[in-house]
Amino acid sequence: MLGQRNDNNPSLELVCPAGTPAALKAAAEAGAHSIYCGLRNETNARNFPGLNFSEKELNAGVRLAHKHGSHVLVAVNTFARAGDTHIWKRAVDAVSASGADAIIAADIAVLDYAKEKHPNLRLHLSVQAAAATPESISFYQDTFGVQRVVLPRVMSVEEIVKLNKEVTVETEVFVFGGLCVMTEGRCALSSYATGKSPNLTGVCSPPGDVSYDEDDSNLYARLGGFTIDGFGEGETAGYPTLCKGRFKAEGETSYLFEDPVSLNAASLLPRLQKAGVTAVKIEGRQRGKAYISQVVKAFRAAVDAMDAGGNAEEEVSAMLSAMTEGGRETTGAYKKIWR
Amino acid sequence: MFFKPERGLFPPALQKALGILPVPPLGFALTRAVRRLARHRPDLFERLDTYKRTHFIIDPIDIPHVFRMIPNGEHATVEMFKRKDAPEGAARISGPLIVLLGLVDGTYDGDAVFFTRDLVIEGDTDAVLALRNTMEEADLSPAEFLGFNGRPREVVDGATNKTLDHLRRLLDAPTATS
Repeated sequence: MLGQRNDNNPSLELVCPAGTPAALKAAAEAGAHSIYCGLRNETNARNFPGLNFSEKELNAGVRLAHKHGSHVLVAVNTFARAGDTHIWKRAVDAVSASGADAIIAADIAVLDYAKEKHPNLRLHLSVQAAAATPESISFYQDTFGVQRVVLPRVMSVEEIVKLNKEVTVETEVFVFGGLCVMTEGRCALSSYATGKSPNLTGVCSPPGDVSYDEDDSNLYARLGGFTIDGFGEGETAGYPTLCKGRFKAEGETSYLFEDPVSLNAASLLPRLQKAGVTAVKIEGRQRGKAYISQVVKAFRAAVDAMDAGGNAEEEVSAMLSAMTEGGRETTGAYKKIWR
Repeated sequence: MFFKPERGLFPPALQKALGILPVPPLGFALTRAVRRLARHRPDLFERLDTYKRTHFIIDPIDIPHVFRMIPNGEHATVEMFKRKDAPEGAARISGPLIVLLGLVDGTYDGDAVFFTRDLVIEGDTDAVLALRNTMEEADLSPAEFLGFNGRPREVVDGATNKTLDHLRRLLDAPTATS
């Protein structure tokens, strides 16, 4: 049963990504407590070519996950277009019919439809809703009966501790993978460069607008014709996102917003547990089975070690080092004191 | 050691030797394998959507040949060319042969080897991503791709995996993700 964490059961729930049925199988076999995925259309925020599930695949995926004792959470977390809400309604109906354990949504129209048409479907508030205050969280809880909130990746551990004392819903936080440094659901950087909104169509830095060009031994990443970064020989590359771009400002070239690094908060798991967090989430529905399997095994080992009163930080670090963007890691905003 | 291994690349002497040999009829065998896969797993080619008609250039940078693949279901074709005769494609995927093979069998995570620059992609990024995600879902073992079943499949997979694992170590290839 989802969300059963309490004083007698302090174990963190490990929520893992799956972009394909094969990845879902890998996550379940690697020990994921919960697996999140999305349908193959613009209703979810990882709408990349060749990724995601048909309705038939979702049904089979839910059965397979349940057989392994894993829960399935389905993201329908983009914002429905006015006058064209059909595919979002159909997605919610399909999630309910699949027997999935919860739906992850951000748009108030999607949440309202789910609550009205499928009152028994558990609602999780997506990070795309950017709810980070007790007031906004209470609104979603009181209005739609939301039972869990995925917190934005811009909060420090201290802020999470404080927030958890003021809300009664479960909280879920990201602990590994790609790092959005902007307030999610409200970021328009990719829209400026490509004319396509990640919040509406589900794709940040649409691959069709991305190009990689090699010139001698340099690799240049471009988005919508804008050069985002240039990587010299031997330099590790990153995702083609503007927030991790290297730009010239006031005569100096630097990563203005954030370096091309991945979030790795494995070392903070005990603090997050103490902060009252219910679930920890791994980013990466766009990543392959090899990544899913390795990262899920590493975090499951860490969570199990904590449950046994120990610590598996070193082993987990070794298992994760090859998976990170730019080959580098950060604890993100969790330890930052600036804004 | 008679050569210094570098990120999975075949030694220069071997690369040169392969250049002297005539183009082997690998394209024919690979075409048959992809078409057989299309018959058994049509769902995979649905996942490719419109990109199944894309001309993909697969460029193992340490052998003197490149492949052009059009993964159009039961009409799929794979052709092999000498590098100097290589056609233009809509999308190009380049890397050491051992890395490209590791992407097919799931040894490597595509993003991880892209970050480390062991894999280079050029051209239609949408198409490359669709192909990558489809390969991920295919979850193919080498023997399955070649059409082996039952006990022979186990034997071929066991031998192939052992050989590739040994080659990765010998060539100092990137660390396997899985």
